[in-house]
Amino acid sequence: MARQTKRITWLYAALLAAGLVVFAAPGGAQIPGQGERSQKLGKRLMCMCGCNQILVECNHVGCSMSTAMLKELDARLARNEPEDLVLQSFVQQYGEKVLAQPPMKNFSLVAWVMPFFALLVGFLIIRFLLLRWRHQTPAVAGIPSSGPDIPPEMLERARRDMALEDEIEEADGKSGKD
Amino acid sequence: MDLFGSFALLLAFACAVYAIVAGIIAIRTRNPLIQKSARHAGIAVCLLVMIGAASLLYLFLTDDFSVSYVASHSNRDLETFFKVAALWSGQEGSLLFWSLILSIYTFFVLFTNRGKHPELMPYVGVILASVQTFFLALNVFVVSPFQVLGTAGANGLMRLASLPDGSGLNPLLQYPEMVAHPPTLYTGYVGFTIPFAFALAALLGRYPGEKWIHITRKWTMIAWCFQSAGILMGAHWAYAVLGWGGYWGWDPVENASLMPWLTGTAFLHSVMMQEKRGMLKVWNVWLVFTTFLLCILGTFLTRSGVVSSVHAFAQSAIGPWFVGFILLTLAVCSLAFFKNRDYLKSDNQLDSMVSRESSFLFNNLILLAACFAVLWGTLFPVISEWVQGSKISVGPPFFNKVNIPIGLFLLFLTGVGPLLAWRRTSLESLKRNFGWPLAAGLVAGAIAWPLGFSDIFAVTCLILSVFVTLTIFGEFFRGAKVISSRTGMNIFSSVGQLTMRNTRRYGGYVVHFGIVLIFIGISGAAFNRDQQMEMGPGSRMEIRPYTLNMQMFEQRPAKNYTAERATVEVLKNGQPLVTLFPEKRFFPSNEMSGTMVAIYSTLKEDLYVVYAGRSPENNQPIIHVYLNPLVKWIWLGGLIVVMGTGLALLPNRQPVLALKSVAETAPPAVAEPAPHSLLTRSGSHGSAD
Repeated sequence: MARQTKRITWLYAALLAAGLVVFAAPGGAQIPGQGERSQKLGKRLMCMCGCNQILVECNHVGCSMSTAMLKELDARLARNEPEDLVLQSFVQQYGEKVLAQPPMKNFSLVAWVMPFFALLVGFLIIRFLLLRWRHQTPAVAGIPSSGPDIPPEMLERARRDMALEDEIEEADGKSGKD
Repeated sequence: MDLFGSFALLLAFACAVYAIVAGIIAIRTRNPLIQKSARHAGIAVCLLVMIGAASLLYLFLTDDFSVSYVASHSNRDLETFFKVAALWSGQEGSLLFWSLILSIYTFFVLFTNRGKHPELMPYVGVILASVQTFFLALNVFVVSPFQVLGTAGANGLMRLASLPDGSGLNPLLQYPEMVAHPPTLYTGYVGFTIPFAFALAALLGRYPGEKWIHITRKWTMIAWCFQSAGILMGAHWAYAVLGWGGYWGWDPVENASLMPWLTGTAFLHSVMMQEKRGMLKVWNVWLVFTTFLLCILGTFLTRSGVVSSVHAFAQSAIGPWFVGFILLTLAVCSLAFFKNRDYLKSDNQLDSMVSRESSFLFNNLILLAACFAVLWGTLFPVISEWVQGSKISVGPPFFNKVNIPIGLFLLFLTGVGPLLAWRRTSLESLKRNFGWPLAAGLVAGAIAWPLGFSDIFAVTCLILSVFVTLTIFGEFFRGAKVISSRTGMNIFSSVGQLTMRNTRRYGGYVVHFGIVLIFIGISGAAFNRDQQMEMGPGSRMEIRPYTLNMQMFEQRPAKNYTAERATVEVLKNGQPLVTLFPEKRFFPSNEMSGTMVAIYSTLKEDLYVVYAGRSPENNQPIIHVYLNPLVKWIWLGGLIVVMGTGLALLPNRQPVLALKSVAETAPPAVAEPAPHSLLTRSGSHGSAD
């Protein structure tokens, strides 16, 4: 038993040593896309592997594209190319779908305008409805001539409950009377 | 067992068709026996679909790889509870699961309402059976989960075949949360069928009164609660498994679940206008229709391949079936509406622009605008391709830019709405209630800005969160104070008493508080930081205030996979804090990899460590670390939302008897003196608010 434990200990030690040989290389190799500008610009691009993720956020298992794209991004930024030019070069290479958001021009502008246009239209409709409702002559509601037969103790309890509700509403300033 | 399951589904389909035919005859002839028969057929569907689902489960648990669906989504070494989850992991099984949940809902609706609402229930039964028929038709004729594998025999005839082992479950789904997340979300999605059935039934049958809206609201709350929990569980799964440091990526599948949630939320607010004032009837009916249609549209979008998604685990050519069903449903709803629109006339008019009613209108507008923005962004790549021939991407930056301002306005209304009275609110009372919470919010913003909370949206979110929280607590405090002064109870008991007097109103406030916490959590994303490094053992990474020491890497074989695990010691301000074990898993059955993120979570921030794989250049392990502030608040907020909804669903402890003034039912012009009162009882569903 002791001999087996000793063998296992040696085995672990050997594995650890092997691991150290493999991994203890100085951690200096540059991972692409880590620079501040790369991060900033990388958030405006999509990874083109089909994972539908932002370039700098793509961790798609076995992604064939993101590393190459980030390296290209780093290289262009290292050459001090202006950001617009870098983005343009990606668009030329991959098409407009490489941009993480629709550009604010041509048909793509519709993507931006439409939600706020819909909001505006909705707002105008509500305003119209509110004004129309306020200006309409209210219909005369039927007032029942006699109520149901209510036992006096129930009526009393109802009065108490309602008084409490009113008081809570009053405390909230929502009595509707003011 | 595959034949047994298959036959059970075929029989269920036949029963569902019978329930439709018998139901229609019962509506026309008013024959109670036929009506009973239709109801029993609806209940039988539940039993038969359960048998079908149990058969499929049995096939999974017994590793029957002669069935194509089992062979594609399971393998012998898969853990038992993942074999159960495999039931809904693909197209065929998830559609069967949809049928199963719908049949259970239908059973409860038909059973609990037997003998009640004789004018309404036959319509409800027919509508539920129609929806069920669609899904069962898919299960039986289009994408059967019981399809068996076959090979061509020597004589040219097909013979049955069985594989020695299956391909296994997608690694992304082999996570404990995936056992609970899809059923929860599906219960939400499918649950919206019930309010849809009641709304359409009431419209078709011109059901008098507002009773149907009470029933509909309850079911909507149940579905909404499950949908909320399901969405948040999905977000948590994405956070813990996908390993990109975020929880919401505006992916089409995520968007598909959010859209019906937004319209459902709008309905839960506007329905109060109908209950309280008899207004917005058309609007409410269409909100319920839209919510249901969005559930189906979402299912279509994520299964048809129209839009691409990292979450879409099931895609096939069932798109046209869904398009047909959506168009047919829309046609039926439109016809019912145009035929019976006079039934939906409002009873009351608006008294003032500054009132609870108008705040609900704006709340609905904002929720629908958010829903439209999400739908528009999701579909725009398809529209763009259709219009100009080239696809463009609509990624998270678009959705964030459009939805953050909308969301903040919604948060503002969450605070303002409860401060407004029904019918009319004076400027005085608005100032009194509005003033100090807003001032406190502004002070909080002014303090937070120099402390580093220097993002305009995040600081606005903070100001509004403080404002809304104080208005909510103010509501509880003022009400409890009145009860305390009346009864002599202490303030905490009074809060309990107050809440239980009107669970719906105060449960709603608890939900609002949960939403505030979620907003706070989301605002933390403005300050996310991350760092990535190649790290061998002994390497060190600094991400303030944490230091990460890489101790070792090891390979750990498990039953169904082999894990490559890193051991990372975490120090905070130089002091040892915790040891984390991020890992990468390789599944030999389908030759796929998965990530297991290690997270050290506190209320302040999450330290999120991902073992991102090996560098292709030098085979060095890569560690990606994220520091995500306030994420825990999102999960905490979600829990409070669920608890609040549960509270709102409880009946009031003591039925509140209230003298309902005629002035409430009649417009003010004729109701000034209000000499007469009606006694009403608001117990099980509450009336106030």
